Amino acid sequence: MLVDFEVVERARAGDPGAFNEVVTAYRRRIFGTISRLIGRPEDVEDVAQEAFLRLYFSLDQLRSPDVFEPWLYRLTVNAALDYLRKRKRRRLESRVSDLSEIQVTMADAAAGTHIQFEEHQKSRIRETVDSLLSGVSEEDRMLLTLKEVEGLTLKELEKVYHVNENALKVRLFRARQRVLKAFAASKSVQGEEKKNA
Amino acid sequence: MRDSMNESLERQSVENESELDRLLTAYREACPIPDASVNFMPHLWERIDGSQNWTRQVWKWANGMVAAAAAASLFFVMLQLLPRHTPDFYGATYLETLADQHDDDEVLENVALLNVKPPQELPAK
Repeated sequence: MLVDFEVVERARAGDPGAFNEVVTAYRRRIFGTISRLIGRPEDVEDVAQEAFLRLYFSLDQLRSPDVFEPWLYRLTVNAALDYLRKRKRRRLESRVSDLSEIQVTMADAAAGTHIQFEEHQKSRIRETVDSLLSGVSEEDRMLLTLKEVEGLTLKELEKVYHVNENALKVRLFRARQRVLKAFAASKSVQGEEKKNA
Repeated sequence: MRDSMNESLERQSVENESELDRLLTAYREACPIPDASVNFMPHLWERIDGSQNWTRQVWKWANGMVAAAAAASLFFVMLQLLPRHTPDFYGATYLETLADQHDDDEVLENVALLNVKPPQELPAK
């Protein structure tokens, strides 16, 4: 744990200083997780605030220190999932471009100036993974990201999702198979394009 | 021929698996972690206070409603407990009401006189 449970206890008792301490300790980790889960850096702060808001109002439900982190992960995943659902609804309503402001800015920068090679590579990786993960449901995307990208173990995921290990394994296997299929398809398309070129 | 095709497919699948693993690992590094803005904490506390105020208002409203409902119930219970004074008009029969309205002997005598007829004796056979 990044903070002593005693600090969490104080936050639970209503000490604002202790709550600030908890937020400061976990902020970066939560920002990182959300960034990888939603793929839109400009909305990370909003979603993180929602997760910490939920943390504040549900601190009194926390029973033991060893479930604090999985529990915070659960709140984070739920906040990210709610955000993605809202975004999906908004996208269906307005049919605006999928590109985020940052992506547009980056595309502009790439077109106008000499963007660094490394940044360009990272951007390509993000685009590829985002498009691969778009083939599975949002819940499966979260699960895969937590397992494969965040590196959570099955035991940890069990605590986050309150689902038994076998059920998680099956869900992960199916989601991974779908992503793998999409990956193989995209590779063959790329191969065709190279051949034609 | 078929064996070599299967082998090649299997090799391809294993290759894809490891490539996907590498891609997902690279994705972790490729995702930027934005820094929190200066207003992150103040804004968070604003949202917390806003939610608390809202909850407080809902509680206040709910308490008000409960108090109003309790007062109304009490009022109706009291109303039920009060002794009822129903006018005799509603409780009396038609004849009693008629009698009350014409409470003088004269009318009654007239009524009696009008209807009284001496019974006729039957002729003896």
